[in-house]
Amino acid sequence: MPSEVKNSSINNTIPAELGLWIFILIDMCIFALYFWVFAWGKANNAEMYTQGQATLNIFFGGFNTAVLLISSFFIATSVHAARLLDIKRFQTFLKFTILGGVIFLVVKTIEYQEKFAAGFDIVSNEFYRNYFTFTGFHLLHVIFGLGFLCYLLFVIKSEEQVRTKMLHIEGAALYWHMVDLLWVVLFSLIYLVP
Amino acid sequence: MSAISHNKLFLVLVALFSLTLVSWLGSIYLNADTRISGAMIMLIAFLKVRLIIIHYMELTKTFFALRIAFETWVVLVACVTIALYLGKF
Repeated sequence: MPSEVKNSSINNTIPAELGLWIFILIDMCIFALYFWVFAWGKANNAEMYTQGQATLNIFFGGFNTAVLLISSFFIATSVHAARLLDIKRFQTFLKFTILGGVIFLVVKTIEYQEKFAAGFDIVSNEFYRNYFTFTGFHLLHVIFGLGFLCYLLFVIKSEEQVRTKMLHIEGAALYWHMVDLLWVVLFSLIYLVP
Repeated sequence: MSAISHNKLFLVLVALFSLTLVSWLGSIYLNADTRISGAMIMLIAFLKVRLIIIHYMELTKTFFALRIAFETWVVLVACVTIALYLGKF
C-alpha cells in the first residue's frame, strides 16, 4: 500500500498556504463587485442587456463551462494522486488540466474575435463594456493559473519533489478551482439569466 | 488514490454538470416570469460554487474561521446579486 502525504504537505494543517486562502477570498470579493455591477445594470437597462445577451454565442460559453468543470475535476484528482506520491497519475491529470485551460483560452479568443468582427467592442455600450471587462479579467486569471500549472509540470518530477512542494501543488489547484467557480457565476449571469 | 475519494470527486463533477444542464434548459424552456427563472438560475450557480468550494477546494479541512468566511461569501454574494437582479436596490 502506497504511503500517503497528508494534506498540506506533511505539516498536516490545511490544504495550501493560509495566505493564499485569504488572497483568494479577496479576489472573490473583487469579482463579487463585478457580479453586482452586472446584475444592477441588467435590472436597470433590461433592454440593452437582453439585446447584448442575444448576440453572445451561448454554445461557446457553455462549452467553456464544461471544459473548466472537467479541468477542476482533473486538478483535484491530480492533487489526490500527489498525496499518494503517484507521480505518473499526478502528471497525467496535471497535463489534462493544462489542456483544459488552453482549450478555454482558444475558445474565448474565437468568441472575442467573433464579437469584434460583428462590430462590438468594449466601447459599444454598457453591456459590452461589462462583458469584455469582466470576462477579460477572468481570462487573465486563467492565464495566471495556467502559468502556475505549467510551473508544477516542469518543476515536479519525483516523489521527493512532491513531498517538498506539496503546498505549491495544493496552492495552484486552489487557484484553479477559484478560476472555475468564478466562471460558473459569470456564465450564468452573462449568458443564461434572461 | 483511494477509490472513495476518486468516486466522490467524480460524483461532484456529475452533480455540477447536471446543475449546469438544468439551468441551461431552464433558461430556454421556463415559461415562468423571466425574473423568477433568472433568480433560480443564479441560485443554482451559487449552489455549484458551494459544491466546488466544499469538495474540490477542501474547505472543510481548513480553519473554522476560513470556512465561515467562504460560506458567508457564498450566501452574501448570492443574496445581493439576486436582489440587484430583481431590482430590489
